[in-house]
Amino acid sequence: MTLNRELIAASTTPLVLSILSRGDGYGYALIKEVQDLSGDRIAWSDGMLYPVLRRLEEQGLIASYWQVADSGRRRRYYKIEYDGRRELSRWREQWELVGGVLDRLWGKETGCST
Amino acid sequence: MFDLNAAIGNWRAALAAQPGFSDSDLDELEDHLREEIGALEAADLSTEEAFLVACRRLGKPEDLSGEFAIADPERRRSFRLSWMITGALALLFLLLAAEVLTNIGLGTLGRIPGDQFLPLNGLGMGWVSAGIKLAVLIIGGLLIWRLLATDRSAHRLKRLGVGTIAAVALVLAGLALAARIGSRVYFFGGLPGADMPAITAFLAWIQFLVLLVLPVLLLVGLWRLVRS
Repeated sequence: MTLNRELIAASTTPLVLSILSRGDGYGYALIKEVQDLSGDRIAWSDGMLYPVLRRLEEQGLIASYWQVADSGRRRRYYKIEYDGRRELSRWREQWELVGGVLDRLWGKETGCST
Repeated sequence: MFDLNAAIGNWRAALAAQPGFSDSDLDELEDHLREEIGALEAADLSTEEAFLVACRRLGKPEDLSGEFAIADPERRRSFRLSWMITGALALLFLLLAAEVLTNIGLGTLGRIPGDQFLPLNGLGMGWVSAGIKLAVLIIGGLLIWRLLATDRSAHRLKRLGVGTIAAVALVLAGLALAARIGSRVYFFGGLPGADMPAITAFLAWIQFLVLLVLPVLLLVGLWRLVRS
């Protein structure tokens, strides 16, 4: 099973902020981490992520800096900002609310309440 | 033998030709591409296969450009405006070059002693004029097309920026118009008649002012339109 496009788009920002809240990262690593955590079921198209990162940086939620990686190439890393952490907590409340409601609804319907 | 660096260079040039990418965007995407290629090679793909798969996963240049443009629409507008100015300048140059060369050609013919070119004072002069202009427009148009329709040219335009291109366009347009005036004075100087060069020079200066003011107004209007 893979997620539909709308859900992928809606979850991109909280996913990026959540991963960066655990430590700085770069584009390729963010994509791979989401793939690993979802068991390859959330498949971001590689090029889609970078415009999202630009937008989050523009909004002041994340910041970027360049650093030479182990490969010897210059690499752009991202880190979460204070506003990004606040935004993440708002996202978390909303997703937990939606998830909780769906859990209760589906739990009742199927008879296997959590 | 597949040359990975050359292939990445071509891929990068194709991206650079699209609106919406800065140099740092390209550096970041290239780093991503190389990382993906490395991972695919580690999974036993050949370098060429890894390159093709990695490119495909990253997306087509025009699709990527669209995504980046959504994130930064201002950059896309600037890129389009740069092309508009360059196109307008190229057209102006072609028209001026056609007229300058026609004036020089006819003026030179008119200065040849004897009356063997007398028919050129009438219908023949019109045909020669039309022929030279047509040749300049076709040959010049093809040359300019060949010069501009490359990824490298697009990338250079983008790096120069709208302000620089507009400033250079104005200076070059001024020089080209001055050449036009000179060529008209030269042409009419070869014709019989007392005050023709002086009258022509006066008219040419009036045209010069009009043709210089109009592009400026046009550019200001375009800029306001694009920014609105």
